[in-house]
Amino acid sequence: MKIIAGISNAHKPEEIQAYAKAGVDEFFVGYIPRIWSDEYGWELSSNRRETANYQYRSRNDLANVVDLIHAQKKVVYLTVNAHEYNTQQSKLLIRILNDISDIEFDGFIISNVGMLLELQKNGFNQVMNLSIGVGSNNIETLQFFRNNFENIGRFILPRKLTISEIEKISGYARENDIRLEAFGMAAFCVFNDEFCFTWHGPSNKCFCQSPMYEFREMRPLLFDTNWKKEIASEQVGTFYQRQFQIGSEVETMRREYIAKHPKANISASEMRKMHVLASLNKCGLCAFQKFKEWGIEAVKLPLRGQDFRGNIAIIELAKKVIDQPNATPKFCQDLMGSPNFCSGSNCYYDYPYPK
Amino acid sequence: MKNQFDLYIYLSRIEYVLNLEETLKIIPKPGPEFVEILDENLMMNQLSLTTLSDFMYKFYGINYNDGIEGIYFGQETCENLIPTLKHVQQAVEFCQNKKYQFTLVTPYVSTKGIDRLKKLFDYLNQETSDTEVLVNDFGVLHLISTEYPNLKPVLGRLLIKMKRDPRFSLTGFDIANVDIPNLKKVEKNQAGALQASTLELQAYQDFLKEKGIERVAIDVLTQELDPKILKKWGFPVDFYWPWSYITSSRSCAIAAYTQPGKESHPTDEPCKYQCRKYEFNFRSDKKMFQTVFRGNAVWMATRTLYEKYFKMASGRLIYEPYIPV
Repeated sequence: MKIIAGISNAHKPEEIQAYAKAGVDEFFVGYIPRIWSDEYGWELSSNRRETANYQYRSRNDLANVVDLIHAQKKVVYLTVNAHEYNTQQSKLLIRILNDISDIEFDGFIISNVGMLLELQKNGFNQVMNLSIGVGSNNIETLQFFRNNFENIGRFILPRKLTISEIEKISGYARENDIRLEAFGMAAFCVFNDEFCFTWHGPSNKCFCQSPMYEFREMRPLLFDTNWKKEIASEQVGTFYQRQFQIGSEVETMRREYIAKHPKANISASEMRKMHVLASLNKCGLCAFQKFKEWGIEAVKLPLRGQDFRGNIAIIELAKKVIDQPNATPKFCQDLMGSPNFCSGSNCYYDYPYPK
Repeated sequence: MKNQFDLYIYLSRIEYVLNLEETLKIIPKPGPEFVEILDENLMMNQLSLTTLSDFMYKFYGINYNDGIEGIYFGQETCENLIPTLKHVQQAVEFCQNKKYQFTLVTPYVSTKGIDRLKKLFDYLNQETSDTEVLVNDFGVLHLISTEYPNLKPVLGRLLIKMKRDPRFSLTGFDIANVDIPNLKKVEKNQAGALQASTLELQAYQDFLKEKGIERVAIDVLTQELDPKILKKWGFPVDFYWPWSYITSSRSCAIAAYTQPGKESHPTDEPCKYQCRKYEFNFRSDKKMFQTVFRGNAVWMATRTLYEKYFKMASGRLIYEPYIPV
């Protein structure tokens, strides 16, 4: 199983070499030249990152990094995976891609079907890896793209599939020579990327990380489908009582749980480690063994925007698990060295896995 | 001649379909003590019905109850809420009796969800003719276009991924000024691009037509879509109103919250339908349209945008009396 990681112009050449040496087999990059940002800014990126420091900006930098990666005998893809493009944007993107057509990318990462058609119409015959934005949640989606498009490379599985759902899809993929990629660590989000249409980016902060979302409030629903009749026949006090009962049911449960599960005593050294690990934003290491057995071709470590040393540590961890013949969850958790981090709340995939 | 929409009612629960009269009933104004405890969904039912009723009477000269062309029935965001075969049969029978067109609404699904849908498609393909199925998943579109010749797929709102965000529904969004020489130009271009979709591309239109798509459905959006742009899409465009979809997850936050100690609740796990008992409410420091987290999805109320969209609509108005969960 390979490791694929995202990089940007924030990464120095020696850092990229270090990533390759630590175990990254494939890289992906975003490219927003001036002719794009001058027209559409950062908010309407041509890929799924709306941040300046997640992109390459100049043709030279892009060519250099591709050469550098190829010199390490590694592979590099270009992301063109925005959810939507209008006519002007798609024309501009085609123009940009034509301008860099001499840079030998090993393929594209794409999510929009219209754009996929447009690229193929314009003679871009490179491998097309299908981004999570496609929503490959079932076998029929694999068939849809397989039957209708040429040069499909890998399907990148959505982050919210469970382990048993991935098992089913990968079983079909193995039998039909379809290549899959799964998220390994980091870049977790509570929502499904392929169906999340909210704003991202630094100027507008992600919806899921905004105060509005963080401080949401649970409210019991008092009425069912017959509410119009109910409010005509019942006293209002009945509903206040119901509101109290339903609301307190959940809150009592939550309070009791907290009382029964006090926070563990965490040593200072583990606390420091937890602080570093927290930047991972979910970990899927324990799933790697299953991924290997099921023939998942690559795991993604989206490391853009993270600290170099932390990235190296993450890549090395991932590589150790990939190279270990039978990497049990215990093996992975021992590597992490933080029982509290591995207590369940930081798992990328549902854990413990169904038998 | 002025534009006139065809009224379709979208419902996710069979009780609402079978009691359609009650579902669409404008009740005598509830007292202030009730107004306090009615949630946004119920309040919106009354407000939107009144808006719809007034508009249809004023501009079309008809009672809204008499103008219904069809029923959309089903679910778009959670495969655990896909209706049972019995409920679909009941809804179809109801529509046949009332001479309404029936459209099955389907969500994005896992392999398990595909199996559930197949049972419904088998029935509709054999027992009905030319029934529409609204699809929000390319896998489901593939299934229909390859295995169910009697079903007509409609491209659903989750496959037209135009940006929207309740936080910027009334106050607008910020533009990052990083290495941008002409912010005004960017602002103008962004406004244009936000009204548009890849559906503008001829190759995509041809591709979808080849797959049997004859119409598409989108949300009423705060960026106020331009009819000239919609014409370029090459399909009749239907509008959902008054609840616009924002985002969703195959890990249900409501279900997880009601199970202390659980961080997430994948769709794949047994579901106790907590979405029917609880919701999340949002507060924001910005002025914005009402937004609720119902089921595994976030929904924004766009009732007040009705005038422009109703006047612009020449396809269907897919009216959601309730949040379709």
